[in-house]
Amino acid sequence: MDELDLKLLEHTAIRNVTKMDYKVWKELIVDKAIGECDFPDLKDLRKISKVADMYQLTDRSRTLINDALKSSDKVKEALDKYARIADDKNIKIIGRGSRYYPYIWSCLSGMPPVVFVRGDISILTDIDVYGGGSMVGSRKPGRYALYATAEFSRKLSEKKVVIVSGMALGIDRKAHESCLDAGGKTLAVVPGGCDVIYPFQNVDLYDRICAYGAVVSEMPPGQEVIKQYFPSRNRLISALSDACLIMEAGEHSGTLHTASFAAAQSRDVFVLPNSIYDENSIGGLKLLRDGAEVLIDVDTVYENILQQVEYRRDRLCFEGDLYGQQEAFDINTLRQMLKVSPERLEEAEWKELICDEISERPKNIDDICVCLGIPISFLSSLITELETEGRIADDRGKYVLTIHGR
Amino acid sequence: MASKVKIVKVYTSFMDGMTPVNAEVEVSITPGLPSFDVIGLCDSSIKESRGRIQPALISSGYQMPKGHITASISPSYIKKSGTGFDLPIAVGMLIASGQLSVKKGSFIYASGEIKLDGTIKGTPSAALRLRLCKDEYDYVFIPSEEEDAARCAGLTAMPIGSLTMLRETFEESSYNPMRFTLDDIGDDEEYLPDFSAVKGQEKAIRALLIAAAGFHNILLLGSPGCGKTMAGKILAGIMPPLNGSEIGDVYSVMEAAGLKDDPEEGLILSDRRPFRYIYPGMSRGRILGIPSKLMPGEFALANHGVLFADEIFEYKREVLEALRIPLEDHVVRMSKDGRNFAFPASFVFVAAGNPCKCGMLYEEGRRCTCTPTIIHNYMNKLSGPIKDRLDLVAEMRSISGKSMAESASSENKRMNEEMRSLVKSAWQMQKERFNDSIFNGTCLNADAELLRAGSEVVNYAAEISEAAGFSARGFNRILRVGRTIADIAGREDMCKADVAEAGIYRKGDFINGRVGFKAS
Repeated sequence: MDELDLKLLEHTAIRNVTKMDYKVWKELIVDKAIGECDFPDLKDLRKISKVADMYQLTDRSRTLINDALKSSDKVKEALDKYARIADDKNIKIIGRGSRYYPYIWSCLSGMPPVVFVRGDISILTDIDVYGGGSMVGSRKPGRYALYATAEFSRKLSEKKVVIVSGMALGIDRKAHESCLDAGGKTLAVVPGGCDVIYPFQNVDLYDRICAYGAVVSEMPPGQEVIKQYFPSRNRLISALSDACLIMEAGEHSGTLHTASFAAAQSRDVFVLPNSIYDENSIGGLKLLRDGAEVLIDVDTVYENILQQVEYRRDRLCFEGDLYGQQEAFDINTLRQMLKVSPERLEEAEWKELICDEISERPKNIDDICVCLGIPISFLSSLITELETEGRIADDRGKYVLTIHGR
Repeated sequence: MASKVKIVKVYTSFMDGMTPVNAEVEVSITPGLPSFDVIGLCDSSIKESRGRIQPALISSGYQMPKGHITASISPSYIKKSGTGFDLPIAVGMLIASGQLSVKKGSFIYASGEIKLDGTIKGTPSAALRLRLCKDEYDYVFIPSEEEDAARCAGLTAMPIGSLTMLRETFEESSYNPMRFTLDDIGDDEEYLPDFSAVKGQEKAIRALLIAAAGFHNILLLGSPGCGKTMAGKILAGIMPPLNGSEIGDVYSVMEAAGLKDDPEEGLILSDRRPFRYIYPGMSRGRILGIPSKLMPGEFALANHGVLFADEIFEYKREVLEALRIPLEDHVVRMSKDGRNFAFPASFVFVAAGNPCKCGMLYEEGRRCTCTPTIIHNYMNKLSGPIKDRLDLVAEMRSISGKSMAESASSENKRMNEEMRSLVKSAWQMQKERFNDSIFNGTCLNADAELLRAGSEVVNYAAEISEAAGFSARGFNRILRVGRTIADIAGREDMCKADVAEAGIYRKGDFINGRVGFKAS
């Protein structure tokens, strides 16, 4: 656990233990009192309170900050607890600005500045790159909805879409299970701390997700579940996906919360149509009446997700923070090697050269062949591999780079 | 007073549909009023033979025998037709009447049509019929016109041009049969097309090589004039020449298709691989054959060679869809009079077309004026099942004048030879695998074990198919193309790179009808 992690934890502790609410934080941010410091800990707050006059904070905020500073023991105590659990359970702490912090949240407000993850952290970036689909529904679903959940979850995960759900009983459980069965990546957003198994019946699923997927929470480690947390958890589920699939929703179900969050976050909402005589599906049908999309086939959903991913890709590429760091090949060295001793180039290096060749403009395979001076048979097999990896694509007879190729 | 009836047997053969059948012509002359009967389910073309035989005998210096002449052709339960029975009947009559003296008990084979002046003409489907002719005959007479057919059959026979010649042969006892073989059919290099048309189009050349090496169907997409037709001819050129039995196959189909009377094409005995060209205006009958006449079409004519379908996107749908089954089975089936006939049609199917309406999609710069929808609609004129049968898709584009000048060098010849030897060695490997002339592209069943693809290779092929959305057939086809690539390289076991290379020639977007829209 490094310094940044501790700072993030302390910040979380202040948020959780003291009475400082979102109004205070908002004021601090709007008035730029926080400045360069994204995650103020006690030290930062102390500084702020000393020069509070400068920021023209309201009286309420000032008192609250002072109260918080007075209860610093409590904060420290909480911090210790969090750190201990996080260490024990190998929980990763991700703050805004980290390369793992969901890019998909960048245009949303009200997202937690710090999230806690248990399991495979790279799934968070997978959502940005391959898209995410959230699947939510009743805890006591009908067989039809369960079947559809399994089907859609499997098909979407086969297309590398990350399946996001809430690890509740019923639909949530099925969505996670089917995704894991299909070898896909799944993400569970839990209401309590991400080490807290809720509901307890899902202990087996929790272990599977920790091993092959990821469990995410905005709550600090060890936080027990109370029912007030559910709506805010629901907002994270929809926020972490490009399309929200409502598999079954009763008239007053929590699933509808997720749907309305999704709509507010401008996510596509798909609703599985079901019988009008089925009480459990009235909520979903009403959503359909209100203009949600009908869930008929995977392709429509996938196309919608892809579209979102494309938008993101363009910006991701532009900002270039995700992939810039992974550059392992120096293209100039490779070019030099191509001139001097092409026989020493390895397959992966040839692939880099091919990608570089088409980075400026799309090229026909014959052109690539001539430019690189590589036998067509070898080039063909490399291109198929690159295509299968999704790094390049065939566009009207010429090859272009996809996001993954950049 | 009962006189001893003299019966003479002469052997011949006829075509029952597409099957050659050996026949026995028995001629008897009994005293009585002059009459002439031919029996044995004969149609009028045989019955008319009397009208031809009588003047021919007289004009060749023989006499029409007096008496009651009966010619019985057996097997007599099969319906027969054709004028090939003229010569055997005439020979039988001459022997029976004692005008020709033959050692008793000799086997005579004869066939041919007789003209009024005694000249002997060939009859259709000789190549197939003569294959039946065995060496046990003492005398084998064939019309001079059928010499080529005899060469296909590897027959020992004496070609005769007229009844006069026949007479001389017997009078001077100068029966001197010739052994017909295909040995002297040489390689004529002249017809090999010029490689310059596809120079610089590495992918297309490679695809052509693979197609030739494994008999894979191939689609060439390119702008007008970029050398697609030439590419098809090159394909036929880089294949090794026909072997003996294949020459016979090709020749007999050409015969059956009536090319003999075709002034343009003619009937040539050659070891060239057939290169047949079909275009959108052709009727279904021309392409697949006419069942009522049992006439083979271009499909059967292209057997062992190349069938080039130009402007594949412009065919009428019904014609194109009718090609599906023959393309898959490599056989054209016909039925006539309740009987089924099959013409083998194992060839490399080369389809060519423009990639879009204006044809310029693959050209450099932004010369294509088609919208994505137009491109999409254009490509989808070809139905999914047809696209699925195309193992290789290669894009072509016109090459610049500079490279054209460069390519008109002597290097082309060397390239031809090099490619031909590659194809030859690949064929050798396939021969060991499948026996006979079956190839990776045409064999009906090819499992991973036979193709020698390890589980790693199969898994990789599955991965590619998954990513590109191929059908089960598509998966199998890339394995086959991969196998051919391995054959070209001379590898016993397939490796991952083979399948990977095969993947580039199979376009998922194209097959699934999503061309024109941005690849995602």
